[in-house]
Amino acid sequence: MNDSQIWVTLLKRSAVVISMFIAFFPIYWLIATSFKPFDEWASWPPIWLTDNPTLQNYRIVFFPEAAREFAAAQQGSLDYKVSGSAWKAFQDSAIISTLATFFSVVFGTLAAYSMVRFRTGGDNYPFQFLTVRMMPPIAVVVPIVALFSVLRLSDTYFGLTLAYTAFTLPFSIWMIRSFIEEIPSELEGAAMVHGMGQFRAFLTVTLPLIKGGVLSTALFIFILNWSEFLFALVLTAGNVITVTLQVANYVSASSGKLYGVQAAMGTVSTLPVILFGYIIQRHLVRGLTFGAIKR
Amino acid sequence: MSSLSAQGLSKSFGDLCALSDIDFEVADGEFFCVVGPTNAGKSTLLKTIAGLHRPDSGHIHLGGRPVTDLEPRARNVSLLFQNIALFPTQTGRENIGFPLRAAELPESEVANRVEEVAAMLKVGHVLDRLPQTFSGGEQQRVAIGRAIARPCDLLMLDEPLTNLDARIRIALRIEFKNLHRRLRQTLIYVTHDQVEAISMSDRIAVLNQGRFEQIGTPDEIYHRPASVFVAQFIGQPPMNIIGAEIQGDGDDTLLAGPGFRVPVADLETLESAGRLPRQLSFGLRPEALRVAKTESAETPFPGQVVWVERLGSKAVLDLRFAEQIVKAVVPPEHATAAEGPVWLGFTPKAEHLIDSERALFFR
Repeated sequence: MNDSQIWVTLLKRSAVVISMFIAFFPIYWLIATSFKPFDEWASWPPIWLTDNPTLQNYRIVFFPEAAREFAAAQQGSLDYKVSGSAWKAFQDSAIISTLATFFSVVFGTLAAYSMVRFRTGGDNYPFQFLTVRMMPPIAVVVPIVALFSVLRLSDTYFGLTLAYTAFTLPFSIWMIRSFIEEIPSELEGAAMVHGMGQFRAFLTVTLPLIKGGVLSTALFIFILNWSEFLFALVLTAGNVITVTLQVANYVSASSGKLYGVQAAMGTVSTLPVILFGYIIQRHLVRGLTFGAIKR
Repeated sequence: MSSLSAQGLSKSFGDLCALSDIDFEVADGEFFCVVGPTNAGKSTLLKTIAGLHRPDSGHIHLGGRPVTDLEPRARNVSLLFQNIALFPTQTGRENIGFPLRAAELPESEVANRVEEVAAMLKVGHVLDRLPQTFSGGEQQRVAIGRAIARPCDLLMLDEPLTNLDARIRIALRIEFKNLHRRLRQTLIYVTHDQVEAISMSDRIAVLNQGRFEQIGTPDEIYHRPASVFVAQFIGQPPMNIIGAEIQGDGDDTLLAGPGFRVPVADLETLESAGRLPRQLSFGLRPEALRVAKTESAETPFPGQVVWVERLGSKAVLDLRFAEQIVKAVVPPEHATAAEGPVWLGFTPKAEHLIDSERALFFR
């Protein structure tokens, strides 16, 4: 290796280190802050790693009495939303995100199958579906609020699930479509010639082959749903509360700036996503059609 | 009784016309070959008969029963796909047993039949493995096993012997022939290999650009091709096509071209004998061309050997003659099997006169 090659290598590695640092810094800061006591949340100069780690922030998130104690000691009164437990937010987010992911992936799989195998809607249809998502949600949010009030869907599990399903469906279709397209139609053809109906052939032959793709789509959609904020904000009014809303509630005019508590909530709320990803990880294998057809 | 009858089948994919007005019948127990170049529509034809493609127009009858609107599984046909299409998540045993299990046969019967088929195709050793561990030949044979596991009215094989080494290919060719003889199984066999087609089938259909150029026995196809396409597709090396002019008439009719003047054999057998145009061409099988080192009544025309291709049991000569290159086949030790001047002779047959404009043979 000559001198210039060493420099290039060095430069490349430094670039990697710097980008990793930039990418991971917020996560480090989130976790570090979640363990800091009240007076270190926003101190200057910043405290990188606290000398007095505490679980108080986590207690405030999960136990209403801890929140009330804290309020009495430090801040006077606390917002009712904040003094409530975050369990409700986790429960609501879990219900809505899971249901919306399930429906999005089921409908997405069926729609994608129909588009690939029957050319439903013509060759441009999948693309038209995707263009729905090219409009920013903020552009349609006001009409949807109006629509949901009229239909009495605001602040209900069903309403938010419906909105999430509708807005993630184009991604489901688009992603799953690409997995179905990789499966040669002859495989289903063989099942059909040898005695199965089309739908059963799809279930027994094609679905097991695209399982990994469907699950990775589900993970992607679940992350979208879990971290969605805009719709959760405008389509709820206290009855339904999502994790993202609860995170936002810790820094507001009425509750003050509870950075440490917010960091604790943020840390905990990333765990389900990581867990879900870990569970389906072993299904995310490719190359399953190897051996099926002559290339 | 005909096992399969197709009338006016057409199928397009967008602008691409895959099948156009296909009419044919396959008799009960017949070994029917479909040959044609790549993209002629061979696979589309089989998939249409199987019900995987819906024809744009036309009708299909199987055993006298109209099936055009039936699902594939209701047609009682079997198809070996060109790309094999084994189920990748199922073992060899499950793949072969698939049609039997789908027909809800008792499990013991399925197991017996799978063993029987596997023994015949010599794939017993891969039954408990997944297709991804199979060699090319094993994949092909397991796929054949799945295609023949369940008795059916019509068995369709789409290029079943391609991608196999020569030894297995010959063994399976005999196996198919036996299968056909023993069970009187009606078979449609698609191949692009004309040797396979000629050696195995009762009748051959030559498919080109979605149309049947000709349907006939191997002899008919070889000796009385209907079109220039058939004449050049069947036979290795292909038939020579030489331009010529008709001179004289009646019994004195001669074919003349650059450097030759020859009578036509059995011209009176040709229906259109009296209506031939002056300018035409004629086909000449390479083995019908007489080649000699010396001039004689049999070999009156001079030519030049420019290339010799030795193929073991025979030699193919490229000859410069009549302002083009024509091919001749001679024994490898023949005196003319070397570059240099030679003498040629030939007697064109009446059924090999070609209407140059339509690229069809006169009848």
